[in-house]
Amino acid sequence: MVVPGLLTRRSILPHLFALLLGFALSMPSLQAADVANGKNLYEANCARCHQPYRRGTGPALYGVTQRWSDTANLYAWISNSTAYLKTGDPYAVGLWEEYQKSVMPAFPQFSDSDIGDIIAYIDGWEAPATDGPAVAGGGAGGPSEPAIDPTILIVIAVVLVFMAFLLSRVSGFLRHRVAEKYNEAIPEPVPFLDRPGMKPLIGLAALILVGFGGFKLYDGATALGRQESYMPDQPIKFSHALHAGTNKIDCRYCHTGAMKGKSAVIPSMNVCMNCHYDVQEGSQYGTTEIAKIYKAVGFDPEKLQYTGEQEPVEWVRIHNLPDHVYFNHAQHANVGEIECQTCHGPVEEMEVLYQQENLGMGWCVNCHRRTEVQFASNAFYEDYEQLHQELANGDIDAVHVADIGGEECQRCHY
Amino acid sequence: MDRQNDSNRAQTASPEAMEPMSIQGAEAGASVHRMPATAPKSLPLVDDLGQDAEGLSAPRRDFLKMMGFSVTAATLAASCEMPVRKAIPYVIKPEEVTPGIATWYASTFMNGGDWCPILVKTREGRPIKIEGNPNSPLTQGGVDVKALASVLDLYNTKRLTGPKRKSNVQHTAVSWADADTAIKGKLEANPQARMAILTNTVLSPSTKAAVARFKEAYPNTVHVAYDPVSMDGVLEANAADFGHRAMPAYRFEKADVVVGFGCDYLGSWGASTQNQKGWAERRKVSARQPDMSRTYQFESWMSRTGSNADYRIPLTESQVVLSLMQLHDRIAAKAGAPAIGGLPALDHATATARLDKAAADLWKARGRSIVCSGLNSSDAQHVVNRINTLLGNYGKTLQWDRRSFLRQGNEKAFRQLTANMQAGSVDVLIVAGANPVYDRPGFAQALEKVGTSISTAGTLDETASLCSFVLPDHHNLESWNDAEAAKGEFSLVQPTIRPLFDSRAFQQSLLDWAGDGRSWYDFLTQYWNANVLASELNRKDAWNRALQTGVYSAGSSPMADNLSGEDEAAPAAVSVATAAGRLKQAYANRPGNVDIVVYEDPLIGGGSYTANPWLQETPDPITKITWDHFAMVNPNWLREQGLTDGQHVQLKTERGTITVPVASTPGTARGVFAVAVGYGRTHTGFEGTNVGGNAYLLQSGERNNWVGGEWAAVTGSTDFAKTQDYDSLFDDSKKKRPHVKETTQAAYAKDPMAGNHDREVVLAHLRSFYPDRYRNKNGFHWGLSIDLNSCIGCAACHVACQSENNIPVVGKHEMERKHEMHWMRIDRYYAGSEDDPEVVFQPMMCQHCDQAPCENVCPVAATNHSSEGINQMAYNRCIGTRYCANNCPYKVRRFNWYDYLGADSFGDYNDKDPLTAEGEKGMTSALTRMVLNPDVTVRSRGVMEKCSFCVQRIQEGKLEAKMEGRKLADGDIKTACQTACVTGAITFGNLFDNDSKAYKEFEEDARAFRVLEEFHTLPTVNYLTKVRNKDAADHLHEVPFEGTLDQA
Repeated sequence: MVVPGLLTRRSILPHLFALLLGFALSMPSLQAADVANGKNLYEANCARCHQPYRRGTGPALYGVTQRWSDTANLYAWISNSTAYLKTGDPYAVGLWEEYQKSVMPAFPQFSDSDIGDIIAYIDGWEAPATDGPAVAGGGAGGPSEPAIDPTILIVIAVVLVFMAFLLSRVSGFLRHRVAEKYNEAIPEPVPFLDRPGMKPLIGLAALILVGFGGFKLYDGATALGRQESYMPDQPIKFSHALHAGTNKIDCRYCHTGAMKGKSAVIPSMNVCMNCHYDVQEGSQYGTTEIAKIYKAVGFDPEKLQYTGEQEPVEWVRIHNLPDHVYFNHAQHANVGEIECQTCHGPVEEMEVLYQQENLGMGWCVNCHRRTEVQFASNAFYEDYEQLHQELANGDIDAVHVADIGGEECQRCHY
Repeated sequence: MDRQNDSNRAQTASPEAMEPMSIQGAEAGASVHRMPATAPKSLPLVDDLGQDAEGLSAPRRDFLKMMGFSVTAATLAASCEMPVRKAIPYVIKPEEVTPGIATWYASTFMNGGDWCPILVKTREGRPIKIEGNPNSPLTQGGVDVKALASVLDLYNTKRLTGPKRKSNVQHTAVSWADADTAIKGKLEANPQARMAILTNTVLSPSTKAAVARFKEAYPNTVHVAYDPVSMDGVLEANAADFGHRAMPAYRFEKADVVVGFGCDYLGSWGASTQNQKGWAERRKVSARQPDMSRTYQFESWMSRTGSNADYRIPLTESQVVLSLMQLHDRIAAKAGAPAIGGLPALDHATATARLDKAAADLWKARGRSIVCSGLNSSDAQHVVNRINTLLGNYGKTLQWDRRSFLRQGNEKAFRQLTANMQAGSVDVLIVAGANPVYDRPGFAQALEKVGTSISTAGTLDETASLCSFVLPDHHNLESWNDAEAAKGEFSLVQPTIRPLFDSRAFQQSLLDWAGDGRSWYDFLTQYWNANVLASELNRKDAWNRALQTGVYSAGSSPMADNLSGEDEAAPAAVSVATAAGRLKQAYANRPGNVDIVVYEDPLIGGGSYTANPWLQETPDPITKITWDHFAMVNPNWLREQGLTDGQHVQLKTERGTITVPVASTPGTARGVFAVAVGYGRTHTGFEGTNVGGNAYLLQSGERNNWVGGEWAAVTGSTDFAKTQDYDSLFDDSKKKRPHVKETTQAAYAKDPMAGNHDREVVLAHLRSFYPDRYRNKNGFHWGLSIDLNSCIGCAACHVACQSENNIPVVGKHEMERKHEMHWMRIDRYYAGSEDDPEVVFQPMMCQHCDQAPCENVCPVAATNHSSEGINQMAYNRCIGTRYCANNCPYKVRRFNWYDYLGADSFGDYNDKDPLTAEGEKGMTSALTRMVLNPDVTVRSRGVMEKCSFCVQRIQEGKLEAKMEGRKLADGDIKTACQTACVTGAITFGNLFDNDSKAYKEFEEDARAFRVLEEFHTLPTVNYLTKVRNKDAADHLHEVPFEGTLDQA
């Protein structure tokens, strides 16, 4: 810091800004630096540890040129920090100690002009906003749909039916009174059910009702306990769309068990910290959601230190199988080489994760019938001598999971 | 309790149940082929409300009401919203844990002198299964049944959750800090206080070092070790004769002839796991190598060893001693050594003839034989040692260089301690891992005289409940420790779970009180660095290797031989003549009119395993009784006394009196009551395990484990919960049951198919109209083969199966109703007379028939056949008609009459807890459910279950091979029973692989046969004929095959 202990960081920023402005006005374009090259180099080499306005593994780089009294020293420091430390520059040593004596790697590949480009790029940054953390714009929720609530429709329909019934009663009553008044013959009332054509109609209606009801019952019963499109709120608004989609992080980076065993593994919080040690601010929710990670893992983002106070995160489980089903991720993802998306849907597009498939037994078995076994590439299957023979003879084109017992009860139930 | 009345009423309701009594009377003294016509016992048809099943009526209205209720309940249960399930990952995941994948640790099972190197399977940090450690040069992967069951004790709901202090009568919780302050205050106030540390055998050298460290701080401390079932006499004789207060290594694998005198070396005597391993090695026969060892056993009750012996000679225990001396004289005569002489003759001429035969065999096999005696009498052991010396067995079959330290208890020191306590000259007593109030009568009185008593028991047992402090030690699976079971052979104990409760290592307490300041773990590692690993160049590396493999063999041990004796002088030499003189004297003056034998049951042990429900529910291999204490008696003798099975008798010795029910057991010598210790406990914590009488009251810690006594019938009888009522190998028409085949060694050497020729006829008759679907070479066809010659009936497979497959415990009441859930059983058959039967064990589980009768009758196809030859059971499809069980000729299917493990959503309404009182949870508690294997479904009420060939292990093995992209190798997949089988009797493998061991036993071994093969069920469980090393003339029970299917 420039004036340690006297000013808080926030109050110093306007001063810095003024200083920078002064520089900019007094020394217009010392030399023509390639800012674009600087940007590339910065992103490739520096950004992992250095944030613009916030300390990460290394110090924030905004205003770095002002902090160094001699630009030559800064060049030497960037080029090879270990060597420069030996000169005993108190500022460099202070930095080194402040950042837990972590060494900045040497960059022998940088020419002086490269370093100049990087510094020019850094100097081009705007001063940070001074009023509070950035708030993600717009509503946090998804786009609201102006849909009509179906219950209203039902209520309207019921009211209409009731009114029709009422009107027919009223008109019947009036007709009756008219006939009475004019002494017309009042027809003997025929019970509703005895009217001609009613019996087959009722029979048909009953048949339809039983058929439809039976179907609905069966459908509902098989769906019992299934959670298709289940999309619960999670304690942390984690976006698979951002991580797996935009940032293209491999599923297995976090779900480490998927290739090894039964459980794909919900990542422990220390996995999050691999990136979020540095990435302290999200694009959508700012720091609020990431702060939850820090709370769980016990991390102080200001001091970049672990406090030891941990608190597990209770995620809501989405993909549930009943206890009597044995499912092994390794068998499917590793041995069967099935894409994660086959069962989990387009996770990389899901802002909020939901269950795509119904995970019912019919769905499992259908897939076992369709999916081919990695018969040629895996030596394990050599024991299926007869099937290999049939393949060789051309009797069959491919071996599906069901052909080697994939439809049998005790593949999944034991 | 009026259940007794209820069963009586149930019996009167079925008069046929009474009939067999008269048969028994008429047939007393039965002929050779007329074996226990066991009464078809009436099932106690009592419902849970305590009403007769017959008295129940269900009027139509009630039925409709009930139906309405159940429909509504089901609708409500089903229409409830799905529960929100949480997934809570680790905050920071330990590196070695991947959820869903088991982590294995090498450790050691240790409880006093019971010891076994083990591998512990943990899932998400909880131990769920134990297997033997194949790295151990001693046990070679063998595992003790008690070690297998010990994982359940970890989750015992009665474990103490923290230290306790006694105030007046009750124990109240106290913090460790307060307990330490109080105890240290006492100790520091008077460092010269007279203290005693009382333990069972301590195998751990570093624990001994910790005790020594404590003694440095408090010099007036003595350490006394005793064993509940003592071997002090044996140790003393060995010390006098050979200078080693230990047991030699018994190398049964080198012995051609073994003669035992009441010595259950395959059960609970000595290093039993190693004995079993070695003994079985000499029982493996093949057409090329038909030689096997010959085993004689002179004993009074049917022990594990006796039931496997080629020649078993039933004698009263006093006559067993006599026969031992007679053998000595016979061997001495051959060796030209002085005889004892003047011995009375044995009661039975057969016994004398057998003794001659044994002597001749032994003399022929000099240096290749073993004589051993289970009598804890130094005099008898002197005679045994003399016989073995005359036979030149030392250095060959009996080796001192790797001598066993498994029993170190010193009775003299123990007696001295109790005397001191009585005299009030012990100020502080620390009881660690022992329960002397239970197993040493009179100790409680002595304990009262001690100022401060401290127990380290994990539960509030008999001793702990009388101690002023109870400072619970960790469970074995939670602790660090080490063991030297045999000279130079070390093994390590490492924690496999964080302590579940607020417990502390006993050694840590000693170190803390001594002001040492080190942690027990540091102390242990420093001890190893300084002593055990002293000769290693890289000690850190050696330690890590020892920890990983679980065992460490040191060239020379730093330990002294005199392990437990406190400055004890070597005992004076005793001549055989003197020893035998004393034995003769004792024989002549034996008190009482019957012999009362006190033995250690291999399942229940000395008393510390009594509260283990798995072990309690495992049927006794011989009597097949569960959950009960009994005295074995000879059936004919029992009838002559006018008594029936289950009658209570009072047994009286000079020491004390107990009351136990009698169990009519063929093979028990007449005039003998054999009673196991371990029962009659009062503080197991579970009502169901506080049963029977305390046999230690009759005799304990003495030089003999038998005593003359008196008996009297008393009122009361017990209905035993037996799992097998069919006993004889011959049916009522004296036709041999065809499902166990046996032959003699001589016949087998000549004809490998001896005893199995009926199979040729059966196979010739079998033909099918259906294509042989399961014989196309496509993938796998699993098969299990059992060598009846190696099976000793130890039940380790049984407990391993229970542990692996989440098999519930049902309790005594359900066992009485034949509702046992075990997936495998070990059938025990007798042949011959009830006085002198032959015994054969036959493990029986689902035979996975390729044409399974159960599959055809299931209305919902819940049980069907897999392409890999497994008869599969889909629990979630089963509707509980039980047709399959009725149609199974092997009776191996089990039905869940209750929700024994708390599996279904109706929760408490269905839970049936076999152990605990009303409203209290034992096996269904969250704690005990931690032992469940997460890869196996917990079955709910109303479904059928049975052996699955450990399908989860098959799938796991296949997956591993697939992930590595290689073919499955023979032996990659092992069933739980197979891993637990010490004697290697069980082989599992792919029958499509012609090189697999299973295929060879199925198809190429002439001894192969299947049970009830004539039914053409095509079982994929194979058995190999039992071969007895007997002369053909002595093998009375082999029925010659006459060559018709009828005969087969």
